[in-house]
Amino acid sequence: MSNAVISVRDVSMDFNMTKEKVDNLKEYFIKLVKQQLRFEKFTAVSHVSFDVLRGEVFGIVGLNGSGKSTMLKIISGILKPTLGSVEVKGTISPLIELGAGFDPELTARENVFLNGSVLGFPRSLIKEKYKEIIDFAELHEFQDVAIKNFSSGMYARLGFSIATLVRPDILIVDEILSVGDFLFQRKCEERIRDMMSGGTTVILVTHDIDQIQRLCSRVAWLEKGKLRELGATAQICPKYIAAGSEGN
Amino acid sequence: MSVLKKAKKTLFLLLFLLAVLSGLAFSSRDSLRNITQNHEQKTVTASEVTLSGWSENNGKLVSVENASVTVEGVNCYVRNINIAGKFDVRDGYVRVRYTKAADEAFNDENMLIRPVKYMTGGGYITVLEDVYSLSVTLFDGGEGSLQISGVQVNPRGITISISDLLLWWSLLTVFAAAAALIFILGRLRAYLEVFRRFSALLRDLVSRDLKVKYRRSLLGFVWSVLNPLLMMTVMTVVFSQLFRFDIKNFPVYYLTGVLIFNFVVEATTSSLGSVLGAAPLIKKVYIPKYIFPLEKCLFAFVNMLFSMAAVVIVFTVLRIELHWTIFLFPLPMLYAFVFALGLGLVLSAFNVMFRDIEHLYGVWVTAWLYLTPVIYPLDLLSRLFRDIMQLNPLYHYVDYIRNVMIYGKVPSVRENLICLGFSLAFLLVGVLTFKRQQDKFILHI
Repeated sequence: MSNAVISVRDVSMDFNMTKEKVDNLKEYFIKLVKQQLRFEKFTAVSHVSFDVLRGEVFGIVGLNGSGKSTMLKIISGILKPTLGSVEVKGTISPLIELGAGFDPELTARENVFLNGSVLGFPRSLIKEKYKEIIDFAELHEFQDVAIKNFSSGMYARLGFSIATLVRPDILIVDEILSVGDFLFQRKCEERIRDMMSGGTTVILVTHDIDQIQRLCSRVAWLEKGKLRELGATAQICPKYIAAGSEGN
Repeated sequence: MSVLKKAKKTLFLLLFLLAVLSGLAFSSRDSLRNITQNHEQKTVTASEVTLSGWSENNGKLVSVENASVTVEGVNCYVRNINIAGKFDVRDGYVRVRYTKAADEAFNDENMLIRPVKYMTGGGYITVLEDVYSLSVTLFDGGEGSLQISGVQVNPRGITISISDLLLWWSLLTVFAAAAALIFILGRLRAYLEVFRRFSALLRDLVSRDLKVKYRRSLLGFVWSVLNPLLMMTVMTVVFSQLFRFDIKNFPVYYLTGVLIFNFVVEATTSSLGSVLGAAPLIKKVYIPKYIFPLEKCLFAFVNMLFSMAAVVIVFTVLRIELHWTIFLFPLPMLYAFVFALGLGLVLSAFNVMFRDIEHLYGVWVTAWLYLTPVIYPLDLLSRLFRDIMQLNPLYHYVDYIRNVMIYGKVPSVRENLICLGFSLAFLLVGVLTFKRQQDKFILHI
């Protein structure tokens, strides 16, 4: 009986890159006839395998373009890998971008319900926790204002408090802890710590290496789509920092 | 594992294709037999024959200038015109004139003149033509009476009736849909589970669309009722003053037709851009992608139900006679819904790859309005176009809702099958296309 909640097996992800994007029929047929319809293959992730164990905080580090975000999207089911498979046990709450599915015309109250159902929460649950969400986001006096009038900080706060409404089995966090003022950031971090202590598995992606060192137990280091190293934070992070400064 | 899956998929597609092809083959054969059974030796009785211009001498018929027989139903191939009765013709001739279609007048080009050397007591004239109606005149007849006792219709050489073909094709589609359902039965539970989880989202999205549509308009939801009413008024004025079509109760005729037509157009047009419009969502969270076109179709359906209020108002104000069949109105709406969903799935999937669809579809919608008898009566069209009209799914839905709501006709099994066939065919094609394309969406939005 393995303890892995996420097992990534030999996953590759190719993107077709056309030099000019063909998105109309005329061009498509002209190119088809001329046999110019060749795509350049771009491999964002190639042959990556790892397991994430139950209850651990797993970090993914790497430079820009190393395939971190693609990896997260594959895990959360948004992208389907070209090769390989991903097996996930339990519910995932993706915090890849906050406020996905907000409709600017609607009020905060309406958006809470809409966004809750986007994330697959039952309506009764949102109703029950509605007050808690608004309290956490500190948007008490704005709950009936159309959110097109919100500031970006208010937007992010609302998004975060909906996404962390229930304790999911797996929480995916991508660079979102950089939103809001430092007070709210601290509040977010606290909530994530809360979840971790409650047995939630967390996958964290950030460029903030301090944060990784503070929170993560194990780290995967991606480089140009390949898994360079996998291991305990204490082992990998110094190497990663060293490699970074070497490159400079 | 994945090879097996692929093989299964290919097998299924092949089977489906085979079913459709064999359906086409069979339907042509069977519709032929169908006609053969129904129309072989069709005999037009004497009472259906109108004689005019005859003159009498002492109670005996001297000459008949025009005896016309109208053969309705199919384009008949007339082999023989039987002439029976008491008459005596020597060195006379029979003139047979015929027309090929309903809106055609008798002319001299379509004329057969057969000399009659000696005919007494009865006989037949060979015509060997595809006719719609014909007139027979006996010239230089001697004394006696003329009776055209029958028009013999030869089953061979009949062009396949499109409506029969459609019926068989529909039957096959229903079977294919049933087969497809059995095929995915094993996975159905998983699909339903996902659907159940996101059904709340579906409801929320529909209510969002409703809220956004009417936000900041004074009358709000009333517009859904008012809009078709105002349009109807404009149309009624235009078509009762400008173009005078012979339609009883034009407002009702128009309103019922446009109800279905507008629903399909609205559902498909908004489905078309739904996947692209949901790009921000699709990029960030996992949601089954068919939710988006489905939501747009549901939204349009809700709008149609609001517009039903307009129909009710007009029915009451104009004191239209009510029939019990009026309660069958949800049926054509459901057929139209399934059809629109199927079409919406195809359109939304392809629109992701080719944005041209959007522009092209707008033109098609305009053409479609004129290709569907929404504002004009079907009788306006020639027989050929009426046949072609059979291929327009919208025609069947519009006709259906009018039959039950205005004319109090109970829809036949045949009509239901054709409607269902169209709906399921589009749904099947839609689901298959969408399923094949959906994993590629994210790369193109």
